[in-house]
This record gives sequence, structure tokens and C-alpha cells, in this order.
Amino acid sequence: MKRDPVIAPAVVLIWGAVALFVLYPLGRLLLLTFWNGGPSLDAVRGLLGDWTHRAALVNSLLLAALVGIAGTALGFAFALLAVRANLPRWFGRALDAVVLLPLISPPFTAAIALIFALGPRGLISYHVFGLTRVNIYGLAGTLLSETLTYFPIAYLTLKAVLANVDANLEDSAFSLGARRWRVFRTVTLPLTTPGVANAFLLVSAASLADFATPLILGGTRFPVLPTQAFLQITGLYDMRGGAALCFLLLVPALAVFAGQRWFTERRGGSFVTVTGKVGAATRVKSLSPAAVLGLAVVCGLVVALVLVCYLLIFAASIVRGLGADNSLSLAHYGHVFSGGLKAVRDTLIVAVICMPVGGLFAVVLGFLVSRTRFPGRRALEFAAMMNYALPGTIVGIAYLVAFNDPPLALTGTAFILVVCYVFRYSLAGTRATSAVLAQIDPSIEEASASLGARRDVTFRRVVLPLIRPALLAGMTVLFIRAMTAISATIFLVSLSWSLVTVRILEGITNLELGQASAFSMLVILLVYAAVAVASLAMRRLNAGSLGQAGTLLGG
Amino acid sequence: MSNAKLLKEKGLKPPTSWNDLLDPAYKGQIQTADARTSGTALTRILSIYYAFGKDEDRAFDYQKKLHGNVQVYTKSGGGCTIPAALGQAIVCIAHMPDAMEAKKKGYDMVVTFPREGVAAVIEAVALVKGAKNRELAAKFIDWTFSKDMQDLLDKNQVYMLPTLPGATIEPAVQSLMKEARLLPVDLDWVGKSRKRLVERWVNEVIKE
Repeated sequence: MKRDPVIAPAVVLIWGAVALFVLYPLGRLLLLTFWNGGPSLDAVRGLLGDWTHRAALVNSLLLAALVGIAGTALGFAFALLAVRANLPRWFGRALDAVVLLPLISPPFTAAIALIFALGPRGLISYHVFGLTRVNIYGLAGTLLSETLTYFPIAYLTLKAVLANVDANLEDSAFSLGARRWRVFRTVTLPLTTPGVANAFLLVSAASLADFATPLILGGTRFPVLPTQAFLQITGLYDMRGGAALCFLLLVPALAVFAGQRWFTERRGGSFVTVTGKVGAATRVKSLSPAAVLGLAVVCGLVVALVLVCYLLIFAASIVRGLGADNSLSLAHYGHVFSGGLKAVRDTLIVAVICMPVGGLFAVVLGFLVSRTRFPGRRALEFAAMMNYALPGTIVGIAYLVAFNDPPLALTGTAFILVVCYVFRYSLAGTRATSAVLAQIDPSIEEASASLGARRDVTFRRVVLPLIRPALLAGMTVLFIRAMTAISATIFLVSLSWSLVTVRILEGITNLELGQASAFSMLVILLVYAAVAVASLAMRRLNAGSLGQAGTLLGG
Repeated sequence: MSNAKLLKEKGLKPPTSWNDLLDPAYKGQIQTADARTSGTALTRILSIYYAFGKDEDRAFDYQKKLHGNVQVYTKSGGGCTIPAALGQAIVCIAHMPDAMEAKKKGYDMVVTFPREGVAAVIEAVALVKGAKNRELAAKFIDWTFSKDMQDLLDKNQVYMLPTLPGATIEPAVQSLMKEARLLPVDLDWVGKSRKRLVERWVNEVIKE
């Protein structure tokens, strides 16, 4: 293709932004870790000399592996039930709505609700089963809470994978006389193995990055890296130690991300079994009635637990004092809409600014990497992904290191919050853009070019209308994340710019359980509304290939 | 502070000595704060240090034993209040205002002090060097020491005690505070020892 006067400036602009807001902060973080008047390993060595940090490293890896296994297994069970059990459509919709709940709700809510449900005097553990010696704090509680929070990622990923496994292949095996278990073992499972591995890595990455759950449930017996890094900085004012802890976390996080990339890039050829001819759509019979019943019981129990947890949060938001004064009251909501209104307004402003900025960034980046050729294209693609791939704690601390002092004293401003979200959560939009573009023949753009349009005109008048669904998807994800994220931005908020999620954390630690719950309910409602609107809009844009907006959170 | 209902259920009296908390009946029933993140926890460590006659080794021996009964160390000082109020633990070792706050919300909590004594903390206010609005800040600081402001603590049921003699304190809090034996704290020593005390707590008390 001819040299183009528009592409080069666009590339330079995007590279500049990525360099400033992704590479520069990470570089500063590494510098702080490994530079002490000269190259030095003393910060990392100091950490490894401390038993709590060593324990945190081991615990983080252990927890990520366990949550990955448990979350993937549970996600697989849900996906089997949704795709292979011939259940009515409304049932699938209801399942999706409940399953989405932990994924879109603000951090802390699941952990707190779990204490009330399964703690020593929990609603389920004590009042239903009469158990008194339950310990919810530590590995078991953290594992349970993170599994409940992150299995939906595996579910959404595996549902798509299972739906792509042609049921006719299973049918062929049946007609050759194989029994159900054998078909599952030799046909269904091998075809989904890469998907399962991908789901495992996605869930593990989420667990590795999670700082909210262990903060509430880990206690001193189960320290993990993101929580330790947060405490090192906010509790002990030790920036260097925090940076070094980030480095310890960075290594496994990057390994998991690289593994996950490897699986998704292989996806094209190896395990999507889309064949040219779709045979007679037979009734799926790969699950026996007993298996369906078993899956239904397991999934039913999980759904019930999730519902109990969120009903408890809802209850805490509409009574005066949960457990003490159970009379109905709207006082907590009153507070949200008076004293808490600023945080709600700030969060909405940040989220709404993020949407067009991040959406545009996402589609331009997606367009550049999948439709143009320029030196360093792969490097740009990778660099732009860094902030997404790394745990929020690392990104937050890196921003704190880089942008807390002049010349770039940006922490505490709305600007830095927007920047943080844009570079962290635009990836969904970029991926959606690449996916949509892959289905559009480049000759359409070539036709525009041969009529004399410049690349920017072609982009605006031909490409942009075609990738509207991707833009919409990207903006939806940005909105949801801006409403619910905390791990990175907790380091960047100030009195002038606060966020609802931070207010929720404060509410939980400052005895304002009712208010924290009311804030959580508000966030959940807003996010559900956004998902509903986006799904509707995507249906009108015929974005069938991207599926429902909720699916985008799957990874 | 203790959950009144659970105390009754287990036939326990509200604890009135640090040693009461070592009772096996409290195993896994005490929540309190993590010294790395909470000033409340530091006050607890200081309280124990002074209560044990400034004998650091004895104070840490005691804390190791106490650790056996602790269910979880929360990240914030008042973090154990709601769990204790909701019965997830019997005892929450925290600052008095947290306990009063829970009572105000209607939770049936008993507030007691160890008879060996406790350390008290004074909230501080400071002017940031090179602050943009120095004069306004100075005005604000002056106001915090006025009776007008210190009476607001009582009026708004903040439960933090005013330092100004003559400022209003509600009678219930006055009689409660009569039971508290406040130990003198050497703030210079605390400033110098804080890091060491926290490290010792991490390496001796919570290490298993």
C-alpha cells in the first residue's frame, strides 16, 4: 500500500501515549526496584529475607492455581449445563444474569457477604446448619470467595468454546456406538482442552491480581502479594518495598499472560470446529439425564450461594443496622444521594469521559495493528496490552511512582483516573475491533482509496461505521470497569476526585456497612443498566459475532 | 468491646483484664487489628507494653499467647467492630469510639477496659509545610482547639473525647471513662520504637 500522510502521525501519537502512560511508569517502577545509587538487588533481596513476603509469594501462586482449577471446573459445569443440556432459553438468560453478578459487582462485596453467609455466625453456616467452628478467614475463605467471583470468566469463555464444538461430531461418535462418558472423554474434552487451558489462565490471572478479597479474608495467616504491596505503601510508607513486591508479582503475571496469549493465538486453527456444511441440527444428547441433574444440583447450589450473598448485601442496604435493628429504612440510600453524591458524580464523570476517549483509542489501535503495516507494529500491540495484563496494584503503584511529583504531578486528578482506565481497559475494544475487521474484506477500504479518499476519510466514513459494534463493546467494558475497579485507582484518588469503590472500602472499614451496601447496590444497578442498553444497541447493530455485552468481560 | 448476646450464651463475664482474653473460651473468638496497617493496633501493643510494666519481653510473650485466641487481624482499626456486632467474634479489641458507634447503631455491645490500664492516643492536626492556604489552615487549626469545635464532638456523637477542659462530654461516656485507667505514654519513645515494635510483632507474634 502507498505511504499515507495520516497513518504515520496516528502511529506516532499512539506510540507517544503508550510510551508515556504505559512504558514510562513501568520503567520508573523497575528503576525504583533495581536502582539504589547504582544497579542494586537489595530491595528484592530484602523482601525475600522477610518471611511474610516469602509466604505471600508462595500463597499468591498457590491461590492462583487453586482458584484457576476450581473456577475452571465450575465454569465448565455451568457451560455444559447452558450449552449441552437442552434447557429452555429463558433459563439460560436467567443463568447468565446471576452468573454475571459477581463479575460486575464492586470489589469487597462478595467477600463481605460471604462472611455474613458462612462466617462463625453466618446465615447459612450457623443459622441453617448450626455450625459454630467455621473459619472463613485464610486460604479456604479466600479461595471460595475468589472462585465465586471469577468462575464467571471461565463460564463465559467455555460457553463460547463448547457452543463451537459441533454437536454432530458427538453424534458421529454416538452412532459409532460409543457411550456418553467415552464421547465426553474422547471427543468433547479434547476439542475443548485449549479453551479450558485458556479459561484456567484467565481465572488464575484474575486471582493473582485480586487485592480486595485477601484484604478482607486473608488475615495475617494468608498474606498474598497484591495485598502486601498495598500495605507496604499505605501502611508502612515504603515505596521501594512496594515496588519490589510489584516486581515479584509482575513475573508470574507476565508468565500467565504470555501463556494465555499463546493459547488464544492458536485458537484460529486448532479447536474451532466450524465446518462448511452444518448437518441436520440434531437434539444434543451428549449428557445423560443423570448428568444433567448432577450439574443442575451443583450449579443450583452455587447460584443459591451467590443469591444469598447478594440478598444479604441488599438487606444490609435497606435496614437500619443489619442484625441489630432490622426495621426497613432508606437512610443508607439517603446518604448515598447526599453525602455520597460526590463520589457517585465523580465516578460517573470519569466513566463517561473514559468511554469516548478509550473507545476511540481502542478502535484506532485495533485498526492500526490489524490493517496497516509499520515498523514496530507487534511491539506497539504488546506494549499497549501491558497495563491490561498486569495486576492493577502494579499499574497503580507504577503510576504513583511516576506521576506523584513534578514535572508530572498528576495523582489525585480526574485526568490520571481517566488515563489509568483508558490504558487498562481499552483492550476489549481493541480485540473486538480486530475481530470485526477480520470479517470485513479490505477491498471495501481499497475501493474508497481508489476513489481518492485519504486514509483518515476512509477510516471515518467506511471503517468506523463498520466497526461501530466494536466501538460500542469497548465503551461498555470501559464504563463497567470504571464503575467497579479499585486495585489501580485506589493509589490515585484524592479529596477532589474520589470513586464509589473507594467509598465502599471506607464504608466497610469505618463501620458503615449499610452505606457500603447501598453504594454497591447502586453500582450493580448502573452496570446492569449499561449492559442491558449495550446489548440492545448491539442487537440493533447486528453485532451477532460479538455476542452479548456481558460476554466481553469474559476475556 | 464484646458481643453481649454471645457472652451470655457462653456464660462469660465481659473481660476486664488482658489476661481474661487468654481464656480458652475465647479461642477463635477475638478480632483485632493488624499492626502493619492500623494505628489502633499500635495503641494495643503500647497498652500491653505499659500494662506489663514496660517489660517488652513479657508484653510480647503475652501477645503470642493472645494470638492463639485471635480469629483474624483486620486491616483497619475498627474493622472488627461489625463482625463482633454481628456475632462473627465475641471480642473486638479496638478504640472506644468504635464501640460506642456500634452501640449507637443498636448493636448490643458491652464496652470494657482492662484493669491493668490502656494507652490513649491523641488525634493530631498539622499544617503542611508550604501549604497553599496557610492562613486559612491556621485559622482552621485554631478553631479545632476552641470550645465551639470540641463541643461538636459530643453533639454529633463522635465519641472521641475533647482535650479542652470544660468541653461537653455526655454522661454515659463520662461514667464509662471512669473505668478506664489511662497509662502515661512516652511519645518520644513511641516515635523511636514504632518500627521496631511492629517488626517484632510481625516476626514473633503472628509468625506460625
